[in-house]
Amino acid sequence: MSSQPADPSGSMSRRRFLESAVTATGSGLALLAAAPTSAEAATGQKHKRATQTDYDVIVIGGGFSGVTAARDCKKNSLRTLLLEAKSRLGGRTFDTQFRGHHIELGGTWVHWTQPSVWAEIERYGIEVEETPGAVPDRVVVVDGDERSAFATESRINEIVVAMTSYFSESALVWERPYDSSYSWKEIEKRDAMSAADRLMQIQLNPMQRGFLRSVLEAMAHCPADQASYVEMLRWYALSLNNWGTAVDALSRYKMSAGTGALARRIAADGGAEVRFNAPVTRVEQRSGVVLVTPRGAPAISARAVILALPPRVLKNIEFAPGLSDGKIAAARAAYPTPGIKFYAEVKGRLGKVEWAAASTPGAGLFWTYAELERSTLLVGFVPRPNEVDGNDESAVQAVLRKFEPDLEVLGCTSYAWGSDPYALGTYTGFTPGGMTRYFAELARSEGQIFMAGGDIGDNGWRNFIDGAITRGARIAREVSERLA
Amino acid sequence: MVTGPDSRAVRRIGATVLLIAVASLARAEPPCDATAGAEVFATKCATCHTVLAGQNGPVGPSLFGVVGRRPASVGGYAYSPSMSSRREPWTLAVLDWFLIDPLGRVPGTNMAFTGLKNDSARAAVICYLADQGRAAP
Repeated sequence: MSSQPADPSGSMSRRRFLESAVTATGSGLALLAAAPTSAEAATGQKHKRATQTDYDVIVIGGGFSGVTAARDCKKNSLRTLLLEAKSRLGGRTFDTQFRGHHIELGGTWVHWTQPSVWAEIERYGIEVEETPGAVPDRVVVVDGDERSAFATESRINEIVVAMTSYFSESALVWERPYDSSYSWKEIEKRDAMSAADRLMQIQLNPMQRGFLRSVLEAMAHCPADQASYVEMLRWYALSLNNWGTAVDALSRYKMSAGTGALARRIAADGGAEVRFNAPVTRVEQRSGVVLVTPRGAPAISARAVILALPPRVLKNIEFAPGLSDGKIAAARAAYPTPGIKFYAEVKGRLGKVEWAAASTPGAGLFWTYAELERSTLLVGFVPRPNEVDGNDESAVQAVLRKFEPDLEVLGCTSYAWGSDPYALGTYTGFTPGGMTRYFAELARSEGQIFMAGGDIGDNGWRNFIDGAITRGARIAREVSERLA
Repeated sequence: MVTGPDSRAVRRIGATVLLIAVASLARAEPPCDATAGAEVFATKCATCHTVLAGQNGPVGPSLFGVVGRRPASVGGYAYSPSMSSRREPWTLAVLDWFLIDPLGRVPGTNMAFTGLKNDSARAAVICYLADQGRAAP
């Protein structure tokens, strides 16, 4: 392959000269072997590109969106490479061992109202099990100085009334949760509202207020005043506007063998090549070809790239030309600082409990994750990461003693997703205003770069495992059609 | 949210902690409880690491033989640039300095762990790690 520009006139135009200069000096000469030169583009040899790139499509990011996109592209006969920064698949899901118990440090729960993940569960015959505390026998609610402890059934009606009241607009605002345009005016009208703003609009007793705020802050994974109200409404609409279904969809059913088993199964079924330990530092588009550079490795060329990444990390990758201002602004400001999720093994059998605390330091929502022989494994969501260190037994114990004064923490763990350079956050939806400011722009492809990932798109369960799979499948289909 | 503290200050504090740690190690061998350390490892480290030779953990390098090892030297693991640029070997004192606050000590590390603040837990797990990869008697 010659890199000598063939110019019939014998003189090189200024533009073509500059392009050649960029080719020769830009990203290293190794690229020349992979990318068609500007001269080839100029002579119209476009049909050669398919075989000149290393791959048809490179998927960046091996979370659920990425493995799904890679599988579907590969099954559509595209030469597909999946690049993953870490040494495992699953992205912001991560199941592992803690004190000999199987836990999920990231995304966990799935449900049959989540059509994409449930289809995969059925397709691969994945076993599902329950989380005991999602249907608790006993509830304790702390709201500031108020404390209520009760058998669930004695006050469940008050909880349902509170939820129904808070979410009464969900069916109106998200009449079609997979098509925001259908009721966009209603979304837009409320987009500046925080989850806390809505709390001020409804009448609640102290128990209801404490429970509701705590649940909202666990759903949002941030303080209620930093969470978008319409995002909360979306979750409820997707739960068929029903509190019982929401509890089941958000906190009850999990995959027995762990989220990683499903992610690996999807990847293996597709059979696309996977490269681990390959964090991408640069993505360059040139003459219809995309060059992707993993850290410390030569660039790899493809006809299209699928970004299956948390939007927060986009600011840490160099794009040439740069991604739109809107996407970079979203990476910096669309999402709140996330809270923490922790697991604590505590002494004794607590049974099936759910504990909710609001308006007190270390507020959060905690419930039984596993009932063990002589201990109980609790899972907890704390919206303000600076209030509790989920790896500090004494701090976690102090938080949990608000509910059970003699409680003893045997051990605890928490993964700092906000500090993981390849996640920089958790499942949080937009901050108030995010729907109007960032939602559409984040989903817009740029040239041969396509936007997948669990936080992207008008596909219902955005920010969930389900939304990640939905988006990955959809983008794989779009890319397959584009490259056909 | 991680905001990088002034790196010179960190180095200075780090050096001070190191000196204190080295001094205390030199004065008297701290009580070393590898059994307690194994439990700390299962609670705090095993989510990401193994102590198996040649087998990295789900998201972290194997800690087999970590004591005395050069930083960022295990194959098959993509270290962060900030960890790769470190030269000081993982002595007991450096491990102690690091484990109390990995994200603060080596800003930019991939290790998404808020740290082992409890002194005795930290000492126990370092003691346990020192046993992993020691030549068989």
